[in-house]
Amino acid sequence: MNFDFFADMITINPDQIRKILVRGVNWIGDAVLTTPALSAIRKEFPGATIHLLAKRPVAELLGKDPGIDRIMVYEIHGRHQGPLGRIKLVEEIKNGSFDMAILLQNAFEAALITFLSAIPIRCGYNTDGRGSLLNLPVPCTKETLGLHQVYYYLNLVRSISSREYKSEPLLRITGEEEAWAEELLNRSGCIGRPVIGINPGSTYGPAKRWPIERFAMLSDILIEQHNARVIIFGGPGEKELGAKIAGLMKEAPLDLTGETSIRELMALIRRCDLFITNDSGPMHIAAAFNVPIVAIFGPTDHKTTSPFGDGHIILRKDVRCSPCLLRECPADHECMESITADEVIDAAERQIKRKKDKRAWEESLSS
Amino acid sequence: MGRIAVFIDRDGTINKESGYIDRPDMIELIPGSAEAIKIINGMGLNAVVVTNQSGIGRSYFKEESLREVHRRLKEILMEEGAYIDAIYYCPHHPDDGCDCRKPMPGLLKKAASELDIDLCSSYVVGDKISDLILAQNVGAKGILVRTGYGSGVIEANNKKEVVPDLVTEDLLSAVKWIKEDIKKY
Repeated sequence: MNFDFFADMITINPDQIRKILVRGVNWIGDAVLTTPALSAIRKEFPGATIHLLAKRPVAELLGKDPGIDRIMVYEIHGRHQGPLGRIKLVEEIKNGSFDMAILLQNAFEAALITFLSAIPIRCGYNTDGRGSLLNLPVPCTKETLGLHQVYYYLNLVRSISSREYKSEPLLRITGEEEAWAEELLNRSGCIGRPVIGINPGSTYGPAKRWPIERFAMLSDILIEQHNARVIIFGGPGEKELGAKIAGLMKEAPLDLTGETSIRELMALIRRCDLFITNDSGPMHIAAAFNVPIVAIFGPTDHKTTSPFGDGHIILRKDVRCSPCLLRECPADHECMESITADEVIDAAERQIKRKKDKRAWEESLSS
Repeated sequence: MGRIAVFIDRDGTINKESGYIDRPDMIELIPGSAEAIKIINGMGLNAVVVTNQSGIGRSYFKEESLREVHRRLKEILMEEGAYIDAIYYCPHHPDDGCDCRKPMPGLLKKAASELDIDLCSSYVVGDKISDLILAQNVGAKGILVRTGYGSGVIEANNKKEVVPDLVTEDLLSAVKWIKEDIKKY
């Protein structure tokens, strides 16, 4: 990479950076995809403590990430609300005496806050008209925008480094969280049965949702064929959705919509043998734990936000208007409607077979 | 009769396995790789790299980045006097159903017609089962190396789904074997 661009800007000596504020992204799924960038920041500045400024769900998700030392929760609906709240936030950041800010989030506000907090080095993509607020801006080309989000974020860190970091999204849970999930599954009828997680919601909006009747039908068939235990996952706003699917099913699933914290969600998804999902935060959590995925994509761009890694199945249709990136479909929702239950069942069967083959392979190795 | 080639897998065979390699600086040669390729050059065979690069199909990096990686690979080999005749890659996603992702024979067939290569007198060296199946698919000899993923493959291949013509330590020992093997013809 050519660094001439920064010639008249600022040069950084990683050894002199002692305290870094990283402005995290706002969505859970995006946050999973920033983990390689976070681990690169840690490696690039081994002597620095790294503080993450993020909204509560993301703070929870990344709270135990080894790339982060401290969390600063951005209480956008609490004490940091409104102009006075923002002033309070600026004061809090000022008190932190940070040497550097790295903005993973793309927003004018992120740059403004770090500028007003007088953090000496402010680095981020040169988007959202914030170039003048950053003194270590990284140009965001059309090519960068076309890359998978993992590389989009990772390349920001690479462009201020002379080293080429690589990584995969990685989330960690504690032994305690792991034991909690195990115990819950054991007393919920999961012992000896394959656990299939379904995630029928999407915080972003209904356009990303595959019809719930099909989720119910699919679940019935997988229970019948594989003696599976189905868990419905979802956020607090999706309880009704979960209840509707559960009501349509023959065997009562374990409906956990709105019942789990982010940490609990992570621990439970990690234990699934298969995860069938819309394009969503939980999908990226599953990918980070290497859980085989069947992902149903409609209005979003599968190229830049697909589950990271190998072996996942993405179902989508080439319809004229996709990807539209809208939250609600103004037309007939063809991108989702045209994906049949049979297609998803077929993909699920392929994943189950692959997992069985892999297990047989591993057993043959250990015997 | 066409020329004889040694088709060499890239990651885990020539350079160290390192996930998706999208930057030139991530290339690090496995010791002996350059010497091996030099021997191939000296025997008058073609040294042709064949590699699956689904990172492009997955939008992890652009084709231009891959070309830079390959320029660098050729450059560091050249510094040691080793010359690559050609590099063929498959940029597709595994789900695309293309005919060039190894073990499909597309890349080798393309090389055969462009470089006038006699595939069934040629060799394929790699660290994965797919390299061995590729060899089988075109009637070439398949050699499995223990570098990269190779040592895992050797243990796991106890069902004998493909039988390699040789299992050996690394590219260098593979090429030394080829040097002897080729004298038989």
